[in-house]
Parts: sequence; C-alpha cells; structure tokens
Amino acid sequence: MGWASYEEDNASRFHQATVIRSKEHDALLPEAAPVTKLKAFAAPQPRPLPVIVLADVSGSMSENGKIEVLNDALKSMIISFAKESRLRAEIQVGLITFGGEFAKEHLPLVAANRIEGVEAFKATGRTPMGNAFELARQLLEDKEKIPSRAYRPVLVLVSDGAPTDDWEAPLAALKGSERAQKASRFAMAIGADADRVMLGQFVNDRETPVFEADGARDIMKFFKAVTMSVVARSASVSPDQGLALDLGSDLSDDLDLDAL
Amino acid sequence: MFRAAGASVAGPGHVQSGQPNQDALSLRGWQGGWIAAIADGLGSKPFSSQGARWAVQCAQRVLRHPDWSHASDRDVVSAIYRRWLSGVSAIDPGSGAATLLIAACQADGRVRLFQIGDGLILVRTASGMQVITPDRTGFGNQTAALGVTRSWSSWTTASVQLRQPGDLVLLMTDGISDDVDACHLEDFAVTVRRELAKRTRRGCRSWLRHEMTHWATPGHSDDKTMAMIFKDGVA
Repeated sequence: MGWASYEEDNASRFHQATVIRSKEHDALLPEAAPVTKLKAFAAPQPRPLPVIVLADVSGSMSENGKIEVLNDALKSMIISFAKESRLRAEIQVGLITFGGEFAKEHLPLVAANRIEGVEAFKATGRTPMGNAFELARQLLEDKEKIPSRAYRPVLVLVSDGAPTDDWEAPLAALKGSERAQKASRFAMAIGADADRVMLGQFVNDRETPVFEADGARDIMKFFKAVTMSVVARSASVSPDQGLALDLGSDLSDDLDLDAL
Repeated sequence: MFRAAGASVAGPGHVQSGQPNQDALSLRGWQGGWIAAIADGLGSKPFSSQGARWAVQCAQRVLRHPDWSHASDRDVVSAIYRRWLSGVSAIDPGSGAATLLIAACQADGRVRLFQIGDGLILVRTASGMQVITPDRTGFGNQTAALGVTRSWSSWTTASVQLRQPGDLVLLMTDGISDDVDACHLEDFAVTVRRELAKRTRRGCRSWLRHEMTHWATPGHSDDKTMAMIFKDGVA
C-alpha cells in the first residue's frame, strides 16, 4: 500500500468515526423547536409578573442600620429572582422610594435578570408616602408598562414611620382604581413608630396582615418570604393564583444543638 | 359556503402536572352554517374542566333549538346560563366556573356572537377587522365567568354579516389571545385562515393542534383553544 492510499484510508476512517460521533452526539443535543407558521405572532417574552416595592427612605430609616439592611434585603431579593430559571413568568421589579419632599421611581419596572445593580438607598428627610401611593397607582394603570397579559402584580410597602403628606386620598385612589386595586398588597412595619393603622388599611390579603419587624433579621425574613412567594407563583402551573406569604415559621436551618 | 375548524390542547402546565385540559370546544354544523363554542375553565376551580365542557354543550343545545333562533341576545344568554346552572347543580357553580365564547353562523352568513370572560372574538370582513371583545380592565386570568357573575353586563354580544370569500370569525381562549399583540391580530387571523383553507377538516384540526402545542411564547402554560368559521373561496 502506497503512502497516498494509507492517508486516504486514515481519512476515511476518521470521517466514518466522525459521522458516528456526530450521530451519538445528536441524541445529547436539545430537541430543535418544531417549525410553526404562527411563531411570528407569539409574544417573544413570557408573561410578566411585576413586583413593585414602595420603600421608606426617610431620615428615621438611617437609625439602627435599618436602611443598610433594607438595601441588602432588596439586593438579595433581586438576585434570587434573577437566578431563578424554572419560571413560567418573567419577574419584573420596580422600586419606588419616598424620603425628602417627594417620592421617586428609583428603579423603573424591569426584568430582574436584566438588573445589573441598584443604587443603594440613602435615608433622608420626611415621609411622603401619599406621593408614593400616587406613583404606584399611575404605574399600575399604565397598560404600556404593565400589559393586560401580566400576572397580578405584587405591591410591597415598607415603612418605619407615619406619612408626612396627604396619604388618605392617594391610598383611596389606589384602592378605588379599577385596575390598580387588583394588585396584591403586602406591608411591613419596622419598629415601634410605624403607623400600623395606615399600613393595615393598605394590605388586601386577609391571610397576610401587616408584618411586624423589630430588627434587621425580621426585615430580611420578610423579603425572603416575598421572594419565595413570588418565585413559587412564577414557577407554578397557575402563576396567577395568589400565594400568601409564609411568615409563620421562624426556624432557621441551624438545628441549634449547642444547648445539648 | 362556510367552512369551520377548531382544536383544543392542554397547556404544558397541565400536561406536566397530569391535569386534564380545562378548555373545551364544540364545533358543529347547523342548517348550512356552523355553531362554534369554546370555554376556558378557571384554573383555580376544582371542577373547571367539567364546567367548561358543560358550557359548550349548553351553548350548542340552546342555539340549535328553533325557539331561540329569533330570541333576543339577553334571552339566549339567560337560557344558556340557566341550562349551565342546572347541569352544575350537584356542585357549587363557582367551583366549575368557565368563560364562554360563541359564534352561531347561519347559512346566509349572519353571525351572532356571545362572550363572557376573557379570550378574544374577532371578525374580519371586506370592511376590515373588528375586535368584538372589550378591553380587559384587569390583569391576566382575572375574569368574569359562568359561575362567577350573573350580571347581563358581563356579557358582550354582537351580530355581524359574513359576505365575501375570506370573511371570518375567530374565537380564541386567552392562552392564545394574550400572547398575540393587538397590532398583529389581523395578520394572525389571515394566516390562520389561509392555512385552514388549504386543508381538510381533519387536516385543519391537526394543524391547529400542532401550532398550539408548539406555541412559541417562552414559559407559556395555559390550555389553548381556537375555532374559526370562514367563507370559502379565493379572498
């Protein structure tokens, strides 16, 4: 056998082997999506599940490290949302802060997995909570930002004090709005000075009253419960069914065996 | 001559959890025309698949009866609802809640349309496309339905005339309609009609099932049902 034949034989063997390997690999490749004529019409994004946090960033939040804990808790929540891959919905997060003279949209409603970072809150000034209710109502009524195909939004209010502006009319407008009133509303009262009566008027989930937070651990616990509830909803067969926050159990993963 | 086609498939969410399709479809010929009824059982209710199946049967039975062919919309709706309530009397009607969309097309092209709850009815004639369903005020899956509300104002009714080849009525449950952008609805309906027009009835059903089973929206989970009545011929 000459050199050329030898090379040819090698190439042939190599080719055959390659073919066999390719076929073996085919079984491991993900199944290609079937061709459909209506593909061009189907929405390219999953249905959104908006989570809007109304965060108190008034001066009193700077005491006892509350604002730092709130920053950490929100960051953890967004990271958890972004990492979740089993979703039947696209979790979107929006942050509205109220501190100083007016409330402001700190983070527009955006998919959690597209949030690269959130500027830390700075606690300062008064508590314009009524203004925050107004911004939340406007956002919930905006069909461009929250389309009708979206799953029922979640509104989370966090405060350690009492509103310093007119809050009753904006809250009534939020609760009376045909569209905005359909969002699930949860609230957390931080410390003894929080206006529990007002927060009680805000919530609309009978199974989840205003959550009382005494310290950093409770703030983290509340946002962990919100995260778990939202992720469970978005990964479930029926993401629109409400899930109450599981705030009852306070058991940590530590078995606490030191006492033995 | 009018043709019709429809199909219903369980969504990936229900397939994965071993639950039945909670949508229902009934499509039958009627005096040279067609009656199409589709229903979407509310996912949170334990007997919604039965409620949906019973709803489409009630729609067929009432509308096929000669007594109701000239009755007012309100009387037809009342008759369908009464019949549905009598069928679900063994259970709490709320536990079998379902939306219902109906198109009754006579041989001369006159079509009566009825809807309670979400989903979409659209009509396309030579004068353009018309969405019969009003704008939704809430969010996905928050809907009126049989077993949820008994108010007449929860219903949408309309009458249209199909004349030209290419004229059509399309019914969809929200598993489809929520994922199609409003500005593409007309192209969507025209594409569906074009594909159906070149197939046999069985072929139409098979094609619809394929398209809905392999729906392209990521993470879609809802059951999906579509029915179309269209005038045959070159549009």
